[in-house]
Amino acid sequence: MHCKLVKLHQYSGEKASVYSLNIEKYQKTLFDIFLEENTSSFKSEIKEIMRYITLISTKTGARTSYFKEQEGGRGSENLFALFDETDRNLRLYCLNYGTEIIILGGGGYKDSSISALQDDPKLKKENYILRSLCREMDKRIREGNIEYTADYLDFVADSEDDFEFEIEIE
Amino acid sequence: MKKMSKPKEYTSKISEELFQEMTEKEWENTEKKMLLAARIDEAIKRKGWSKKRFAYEIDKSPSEISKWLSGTHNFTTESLWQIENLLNIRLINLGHEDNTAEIANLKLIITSTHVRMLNRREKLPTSYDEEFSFPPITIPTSNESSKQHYQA
Repeated sequence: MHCKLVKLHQYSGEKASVYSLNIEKYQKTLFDIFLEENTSSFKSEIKEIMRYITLISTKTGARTSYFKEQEGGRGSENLFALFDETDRNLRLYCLNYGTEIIILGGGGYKDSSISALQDDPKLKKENYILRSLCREMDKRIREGNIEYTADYLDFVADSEDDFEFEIEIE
Repeated sequence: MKKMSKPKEYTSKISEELFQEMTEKEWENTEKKMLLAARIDEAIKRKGWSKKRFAYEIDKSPSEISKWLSGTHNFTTESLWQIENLLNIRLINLGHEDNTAEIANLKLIITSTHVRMLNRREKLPTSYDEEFSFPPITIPTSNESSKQHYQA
């Protein structure tokens, strides 16, 4: 599926920039889809996640202690889970680049009976989308197609095409 | 050649609607939780400890410490005191309340032959264990002989 990396200006601030992947077919980002899928059942938690992300970008930066690490396995070391606590219902996947850049993916309801994400089809799908994006981003950064700005708050490239991806989304 | 292209900006309509529903109090509560977690995290680092070491020292599991530092946790006061003592930081401010007492009014009772001052030489209290003094005052009377100076 054809996707584009976009900057979520409503969530970005001086401490961090927040991005997501815009799915061309749906004309929506992965994060917007996450909000739409979960607002009716978990509105209060959704709003807390939104405040959390905004405060990360405006006040605190993306501190590693705010994220659950090692959600992506080998080759996807930048993949974290946000807001993934035992007393919370939702899990949101994201990619972190230092404390200054976050790429928000999707996520979903996290059943407490599930021990491995692969046991939950929805979480597995969302997690694997970000694994694909992570591998492709790492490749483009490694090859110099995508770089960081001097303050590490943004990505830059030679062309906007460098922010387009073909990601397998079931 | 310097790279100049950046990802396009995206406006989320659903986010806009949800942001409008949020109260100042909700923002404040979320911010406080996150800043508290950050302060504890920084204090652990200053001590040169890993999170595992901190968990051991405070007799909690590493997963509980991860929760503490996530920025989503609601701490009990007992936990905060424990953390304060171990990391030698201040998280709860129990500064003294302002105990300045208002000076209500100074009563001056005047009769035809004498004057009685209720607040004499004593200092008026401005706090529970503090006082201040009145300046001396002279109250003239019509009869010179009964003229007296009174000092508060």
